[in-house]
Amino acid sequence: MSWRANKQQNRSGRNSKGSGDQVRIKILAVFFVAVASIIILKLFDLQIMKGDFYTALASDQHELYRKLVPERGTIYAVENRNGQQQLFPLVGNQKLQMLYSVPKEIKDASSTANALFAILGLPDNVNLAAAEKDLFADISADLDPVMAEEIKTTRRQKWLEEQNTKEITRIYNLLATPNSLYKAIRHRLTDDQVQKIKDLNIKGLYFQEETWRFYPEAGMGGQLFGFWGIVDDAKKGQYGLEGYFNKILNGTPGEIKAQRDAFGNLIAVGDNYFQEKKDGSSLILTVDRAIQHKACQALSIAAQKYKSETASVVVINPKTGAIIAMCGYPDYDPDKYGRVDDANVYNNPLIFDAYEPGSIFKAVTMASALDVDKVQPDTTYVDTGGAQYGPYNIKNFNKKVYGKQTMVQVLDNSINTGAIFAMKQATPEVFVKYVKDFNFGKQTGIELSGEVAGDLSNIDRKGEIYKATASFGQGIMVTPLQMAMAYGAFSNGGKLMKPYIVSQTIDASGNVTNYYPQEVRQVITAKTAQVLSGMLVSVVANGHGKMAGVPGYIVGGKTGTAQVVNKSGHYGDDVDVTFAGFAPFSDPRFVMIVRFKKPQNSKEAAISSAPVFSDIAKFILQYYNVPYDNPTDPALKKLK
Amino acid sequence: MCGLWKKEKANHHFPELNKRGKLLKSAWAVFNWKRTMMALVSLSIVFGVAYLMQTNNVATRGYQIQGLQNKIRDLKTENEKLQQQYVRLQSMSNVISQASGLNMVAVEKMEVVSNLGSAVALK
Repeated sequence: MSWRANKQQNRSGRNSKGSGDQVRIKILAVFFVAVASIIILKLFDLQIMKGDFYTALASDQHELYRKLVPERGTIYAVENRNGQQQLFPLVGNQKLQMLYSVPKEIKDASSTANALFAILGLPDNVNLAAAEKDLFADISADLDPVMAEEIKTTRRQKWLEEQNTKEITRIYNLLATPNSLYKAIRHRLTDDQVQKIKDLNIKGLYFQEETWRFYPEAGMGGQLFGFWGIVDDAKKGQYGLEGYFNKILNGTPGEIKAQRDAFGNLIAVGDNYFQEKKDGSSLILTVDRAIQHKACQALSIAAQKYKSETASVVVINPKTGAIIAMCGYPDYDPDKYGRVDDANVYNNPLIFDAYEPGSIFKAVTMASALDVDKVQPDTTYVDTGGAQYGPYNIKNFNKKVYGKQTMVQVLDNSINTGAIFAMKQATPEVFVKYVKDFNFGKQTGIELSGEVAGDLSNIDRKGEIYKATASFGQGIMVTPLQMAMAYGAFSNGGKLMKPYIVSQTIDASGNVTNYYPQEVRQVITAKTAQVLSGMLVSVVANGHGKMAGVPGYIVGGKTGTAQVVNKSGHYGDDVDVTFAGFAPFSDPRFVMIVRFKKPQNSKEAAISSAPVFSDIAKFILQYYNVPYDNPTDPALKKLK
Repeated sequence: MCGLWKKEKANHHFPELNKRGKLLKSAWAVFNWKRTMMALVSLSIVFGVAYLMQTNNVATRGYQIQGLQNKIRDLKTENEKLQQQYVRLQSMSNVISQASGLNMVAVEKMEVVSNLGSAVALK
């Protein structure tokens, strides 16, 4: 073969080989484009679609940032133990575990949800007892009891099954969200639950320690404490002491920011920042635990017995203005504050619920008239059963006519016209001045959230009738605490004290801040106070307040049954019943107000509030080891 | 040091050392490369072992410290739980329920003992 033929052959061979190469190149190009596309798509997924997730993950790997949450202060009450005062925590802290998941790590959400439900069960807020009201609403009372019970059982089981399914679905939905980094499943786990979940050894389930408030004394003044609840994604004290002292109790948060190395260790020379947290201060209350318990318990039992809409009791030390006990009904559990039916229950009725006090206000009227020497205990007037003001005839309770009466009898029998007589003797202007001097119409300044001032606008109106109705406690609005402070002045030589409930705060370093009693003013003279106290003793000994008496002790006080304005703006059948009193007469250790709002049973203070006062007063006097005023009291002999 | 050293700037006690370089030469003569290497290797081994021991020791102590810290944390948690239990047991509701279980009854009537006074005498 010639060299030319060879060349030709080579050319043709090269051509066929060249077309094969081109195909291969094209395949390779397609392969590279495909790989590049996959890479681009993956990068898009990683950087755009899941960018936040991986940024957070990376930040957690090479940076540490933690907010240091301060420990919230404890709230202590005092208690008398063999003559010595000791502290007892009423509100403390407890650390509980919260279960959360990293859904990305969960392999089988369905079986995990079922396993978790088997351990956790239904959450606390699922309340069968509350649901039963609706579930059984249509079951007639006339239905055969056996049949009714069978229906109830079936419905109960069905309801529980529904709740179980609902909860398992909820947990499943939390676990089956692979794009999520964190999902909280259940708060406040018990140690037993934590251990059982750990034993499951399921990847993707973690625990985080949380601080919760701890209330060792259930049902003992939820309205007094308030609660530590979530506001705008942060926990904050609300209502009561928690609300008023939120900043002091809360302390100052700290923070730590540091860089990590590849192994997750902190880099000492990195861009680090540390601010120490400052734990909250603790509060030492003036409240006595034993008296508080007794007062709350007695009030709750009586309020249920009388079917009262609300009720309240406050016990103060008249010499200092210190609150010894303070309780409202219905109360709520601050540990489960979210489960109340009506948010009104958060308000403390002793400072929030201003009302027409009724006849307990007659003591204030009498104080003003006595103090200006316009009446004496034996001053007499003739009761005709009413007082005419234009077209209005103000009558006595139960339309009684008493005839000639002394001022002592005015209080004993709670005569409205007698209070009007005393007010007129003092003059309406002087009466108004005294009412204001007793600080009615102004906030007392107690360290609790939600205090109202009351309303005295009526007595500033022209016309004597407004002063006349105010003289027996109608037409003006006062809070039970304001009334207690006024009665405190009667038992404290005429000095009105400012109420206070915190005696000390102790900060995290142990520095103590003391709160001292504050005198507002001398409203009436010591002599007037003494005379008035004697007249109030007569009310308990001879008048309407007999059931407030405590055998062996001389007790003073006054009943008050006030009409309540109904929805149409007129006085209806509902009443507010109050007893305000003090004991012992010789050296009053306490002043107490017991009030029931709109009781359906026992609509007179003499037979509702007064016995509750007596019950609590007896406990306090024995608790304080107060010797009998009258050891020969025949009532004592009847006791065992 | 002999005072003449400064004056003469020479060592008259060992004149053979006065010549420049003689000192280095004599030092070099004593120097044994093999021995030096052996000494350096031995030192390296000794320091290496010491370093390992120290590192090991520090690591072990670290684990011990961490273990103790965990123990402190656990004890603190346990202590808090015991305190809470103690407070719960002391709560009024619990005390009252216990009291009724022990058949205790409320005091209805007090006996007040009057003080005799500070001065007393035998008859």
